[in-house]
Amino acid sequence: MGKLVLSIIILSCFYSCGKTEDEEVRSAINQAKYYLSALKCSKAQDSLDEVDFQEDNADYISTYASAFACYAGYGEVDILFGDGGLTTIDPSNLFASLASFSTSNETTADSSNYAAINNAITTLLSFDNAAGTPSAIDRESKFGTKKAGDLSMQALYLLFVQLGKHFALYGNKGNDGSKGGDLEGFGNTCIYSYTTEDAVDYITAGSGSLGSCSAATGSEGSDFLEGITEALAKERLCRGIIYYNNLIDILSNTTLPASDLLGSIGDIGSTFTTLMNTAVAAETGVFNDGDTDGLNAISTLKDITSQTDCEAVTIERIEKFYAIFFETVYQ
Amino acid sequence: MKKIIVFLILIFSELLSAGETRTLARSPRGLLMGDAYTSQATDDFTLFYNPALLARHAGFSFYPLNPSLTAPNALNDMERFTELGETPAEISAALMDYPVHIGLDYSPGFKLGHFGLSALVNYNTNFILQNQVTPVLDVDHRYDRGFIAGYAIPLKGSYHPERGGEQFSIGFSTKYIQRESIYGSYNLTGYSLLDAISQGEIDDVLNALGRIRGSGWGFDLGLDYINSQGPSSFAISLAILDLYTILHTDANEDDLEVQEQNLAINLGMSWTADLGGGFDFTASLDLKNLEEASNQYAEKIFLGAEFGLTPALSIYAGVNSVDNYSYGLKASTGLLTLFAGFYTTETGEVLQQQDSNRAVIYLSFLDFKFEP
Repeated sequence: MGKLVLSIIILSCFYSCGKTEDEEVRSAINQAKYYLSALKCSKAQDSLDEVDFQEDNADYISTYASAFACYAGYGEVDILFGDGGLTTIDPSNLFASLASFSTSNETTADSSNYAAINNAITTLLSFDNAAGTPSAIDRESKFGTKKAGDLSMQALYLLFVQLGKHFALYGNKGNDGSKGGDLEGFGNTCIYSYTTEDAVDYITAGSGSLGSCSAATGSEGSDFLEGITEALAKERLCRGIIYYNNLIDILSNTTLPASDLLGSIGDIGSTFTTLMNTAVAAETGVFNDGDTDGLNAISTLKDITSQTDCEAVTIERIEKFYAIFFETVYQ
Repeated sequence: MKKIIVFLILIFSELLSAGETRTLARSPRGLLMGDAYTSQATDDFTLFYNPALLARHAGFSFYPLNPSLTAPNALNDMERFTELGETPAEISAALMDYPVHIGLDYSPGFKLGHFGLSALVNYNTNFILQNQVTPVLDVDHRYDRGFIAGYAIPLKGSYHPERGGEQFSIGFSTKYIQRESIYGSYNLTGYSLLDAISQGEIDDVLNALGRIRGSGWGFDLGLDYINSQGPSSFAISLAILDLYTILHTDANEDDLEVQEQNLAINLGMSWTADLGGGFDFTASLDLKNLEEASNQYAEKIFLGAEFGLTPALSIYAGVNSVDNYSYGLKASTGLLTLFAGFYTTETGEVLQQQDSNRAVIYLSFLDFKFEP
């Protein structure tokens, strides 16, 4: 009898089950969340890298994006749900509101914080479809309403912060976030130094209604967008376009929960859809008769959500998009 | 010496694990003995630990009212709760990385000879807020109802609770579980959670969070050897819990699944000595979850002790997973038995990564035993 007991005990010790792939993924995510609780960014990323990238798993994608954002010192609730967060956003003055965030403090282009948040956003938005073109509708089809909604809102919060960083730097924000306020002494009055004929015409005609951007002198824009290769200029300019277009894509295709915590951000979609329609309509006549590489810039770029697709567009059209749309809406 | 060193290295090595084991009802006596209870579970929770221990029972025992409550040991972290705040930022800061547990259990039942039957009403909610970057609330909520019935057969020898003896037994049990569950991760300021909260009515909130239902049957198997001679007794038991337990989830729009009730193979040993004058002492050791391929051997070791001071008063202590301590006491009168104490359980993915400090209180009214 003693031998029988011993045999069963030994057999039970050898009868052991390994983790299934799902369990390994869940364990990796839980490990990463544990490390992110202590802001141990690289350990969190290492945990997630212990399994293959799970592009069909919304929780994995969300956690991986968090690991990237961690490197930027990003904390969602501290930045957006504390003082000076979402509730301070004025939809009619969106960009200045975002540029006034405490995190809109870039002093150089492509900083590590800016790159980290860009990585987080890219991670959240790149797996909606096989083409890699972010789409809130495709996201919902793939992940379902709830998980897609979670991914979209996580991206939305990051986009608010990143747009603030982007326009504060290139728009040379002031104390209140307004364009050309020169808080850091960059000196520029416009975002970009415009040379394309239609863009120059628009800035000249819009003098007085575009905030600090009142003249296209060829040196009115950010130094961070000058003296660099065209490819790098396109990359930097396209970031702003992609952030904005994805923000509007999310706001236009996601029913935001009814919550006081979200302030007035539900009004941004309709406000900016109207502004974009106005910009499309404005790109006619003398503002759309110059260099053929710059024609129909707004209608070409307004729905592009992928960085690659944006960078495939001519620099003239990208320049015009900034002149007609961003110089108008960011003052 | 070499073997001892190798053994110690294995014991204290850190590798994969799987957080808290998902159990059904737990004995308060077991929890206070470090959950080293596989060979000691001769109380009203026998069927939840090892059906083979029914072979040690004689006569008729009835446990009509035996509720227990487990909750966070807030005494250890009072500041968190007094400074909870109202905004997401304040709540997040206060609750970050703190495992919250609420358990309510009611398992009335009876034993008749070597047969036992227990009802199962177990409400178990665990949640934890993690990730400072994008705070995520992990929820593991179960509300189980059902029953478990078992029978044990002495294969060799004979044992009686009063007279002792030597006996080797096999036992088995079957169970039916109806499980209501919410199981998932929710971004604190994300769509799912804010949308659920906006539903207003609590029922709608729970449904929006993904409340689902499932049910199914399960099967346990156990072996038990006890040798009780004179003032001391030794027992060794093996329990294979949920050897076959399949829960089928009702259809739901998000294709969610209720939590599985996973296989657990536990080996327990204990030694009890009657010290005379009303005093007794029990030491127990469990090796749990032997089915898991893990090198975290230390996580599998559970140790416990009981000091019986009088038939009406006992004190308990235990330790498991290296540094998870438990302690408490039992006070008993004729009609009422009270257990109270504190215990800690491992909740992290890796040994010693994350613990949950909890309190347990148990009351049993009107239980009795009739032995012809």
